[in-house]
Amino acid sequence: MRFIINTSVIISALMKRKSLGFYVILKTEHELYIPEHAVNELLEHIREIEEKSELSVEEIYLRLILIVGRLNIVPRDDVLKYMREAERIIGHRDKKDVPFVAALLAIHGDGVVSYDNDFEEIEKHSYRWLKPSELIRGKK
Amino acid sequence: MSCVARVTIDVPDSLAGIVGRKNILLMGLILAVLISRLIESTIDWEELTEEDLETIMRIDELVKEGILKHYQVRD
Repeated sequence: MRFIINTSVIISALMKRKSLGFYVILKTEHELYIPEHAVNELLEHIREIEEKSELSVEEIYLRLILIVGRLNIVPRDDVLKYMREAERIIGHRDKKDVPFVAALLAIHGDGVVSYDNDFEEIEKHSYRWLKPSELIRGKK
Repeated sequence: MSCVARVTIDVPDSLAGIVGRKNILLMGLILAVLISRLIESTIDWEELTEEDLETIMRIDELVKEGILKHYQVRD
């Protein structure tokens, strides 16, 4: 199955030593996708992550390299094509989630893996919203 | 009665040169693979606390705000 991985899961993977997010990203057999520019923006805020992380700076970057190696990037142009439709699905809950849903539509994916409750909105449109624990345990 | 045979393999200079230059890169790659395998084999996890989740979501809001800017097109 194809899932969009939300940045909240990646941030958790970079912050917690015993991270379920990191475990899921490395171990799942599902295909994981992320919209273009997401990794760049994570790097823009890496200082905040470093300040709050249980990991050393070296460990954070090493994990980030391993994570990026497991993810597929959805090109910006593909995401842009579905922005309007995604806006209708989740824009009223949080506009910042729109690129993730647009990426989901672009890849014809099955759902989004996220800690963010706003993604429950996609379930009304027959997509799945899973927390990392649910993905790894095969719930829903 | 014993017999000793010596086998000589001629390695072309060009190949020896390539191997020599690639040694550091090769060692680096092997090290990276070993480290990643070590990390993957020792990985463990636990549930997030409310405090963890709050911190993660606060940083995530900033990251998502940045991502959205790349997808905002003016009509």
